[in-house]
Amino acid sequence: MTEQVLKDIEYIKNYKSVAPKAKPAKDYKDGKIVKGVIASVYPQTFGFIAKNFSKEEAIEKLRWMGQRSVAIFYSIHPQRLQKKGSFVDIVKDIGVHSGERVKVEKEITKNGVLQNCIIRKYKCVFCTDTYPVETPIFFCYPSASFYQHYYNIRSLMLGTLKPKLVFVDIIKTAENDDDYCLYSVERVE
Amino acid sequence: MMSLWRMLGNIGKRVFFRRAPKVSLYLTTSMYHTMIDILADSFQGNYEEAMEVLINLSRPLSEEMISDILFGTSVLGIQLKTLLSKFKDLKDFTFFVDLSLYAFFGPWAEKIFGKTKYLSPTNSEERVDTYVLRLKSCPFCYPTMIPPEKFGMHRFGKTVAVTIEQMVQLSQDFLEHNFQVVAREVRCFHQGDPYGEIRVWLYPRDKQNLMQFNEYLKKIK
Repeated sequence: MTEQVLKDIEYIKNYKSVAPKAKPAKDYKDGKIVKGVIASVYPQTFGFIAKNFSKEEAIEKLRWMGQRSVAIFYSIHPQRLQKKGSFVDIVKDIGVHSGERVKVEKEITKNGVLQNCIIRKYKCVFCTDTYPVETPIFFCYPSASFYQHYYNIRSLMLGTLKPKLVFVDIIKTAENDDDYCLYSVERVE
Repeated sequence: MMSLWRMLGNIGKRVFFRRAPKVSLYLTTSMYHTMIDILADSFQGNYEEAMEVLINLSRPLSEEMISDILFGTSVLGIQLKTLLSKFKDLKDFTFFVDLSLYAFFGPWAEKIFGKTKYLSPTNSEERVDTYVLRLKSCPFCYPTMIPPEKFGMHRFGKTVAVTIEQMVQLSQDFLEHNFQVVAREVRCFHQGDPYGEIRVWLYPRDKQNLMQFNEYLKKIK
């Protein structure tokens, strides 16, 4: 896990757009778009991955999607990397961009350092009523790994956060717009 | 009367965008980029094929989403399709195109797109009714580190062009105009152009053979 985080930190540091004339886009810090745009692309991409790969490979690819999104996100929005805060602050920070409503529950700490907790998430970017295929694979793996990588990259960049690294997995996903997703968070290092 | 409909449209688009669930542009472009990457990875690094697959995969849901917005949305008691019916004239329809862009991007639409221009068949190089959308900046292609030549005949913002194409097609069908709508991103920051440009051509269904004279369609998928 550390290796992937360090690799993406290198990606962020070496990031150079090949479309620099589109530069004003760099300043879209408050820019928003209707969620339906993602909902019209992601389900079919998910379906393609779920159909064409084994369950393990599909999960790996979907988790990679979340990690890759974080690397690109921080590359174009590096101000976020410098922002300090607790695990809860950083996780809630994602909600500003995703429109998701996040609650952190059942925090277990040891010597003041978070060991485990649960993320309860409403208005998931990925979970919609539109499931393209019957599959046992959770729909929002990219989101779980986004939360994980979003914290881990910032942690290794700042070097002062505790816990240093976390692993985020899915307990349940939302089945409709009023439902919620539950993620488990575990301290790795 | 037309100015009243425009005023209602301007109010309605703001109310619609304020009410709609939203995601940040940064997050959206990161995810868009990642979806292209993951598909390219599944095709041994072939980005042109990945783009082809992404477009084919997303077309049906995208059309459903636009259809839901166009025909299922009601703001301040006025249905969007009622408003659309007031912009039957092809020249006036530019207002509706800009309104739709606002519905998706909110006030950011004005930072990305200039005002849509209409070219009549006599003024258009392609000899058909044409809409020209100029992009002043582009949140979609800025994040990429992938060289444009890897995309072959595709452009990075293809999904934006397809979404606009579908929106114009569904609207024109509703207005009972017999057009085949085709859109291409003819200029793109990713390609090194100083601005982006999406052209939307309205080919009369009985004159679709005119497409063979469209130089852009030969070069851009």
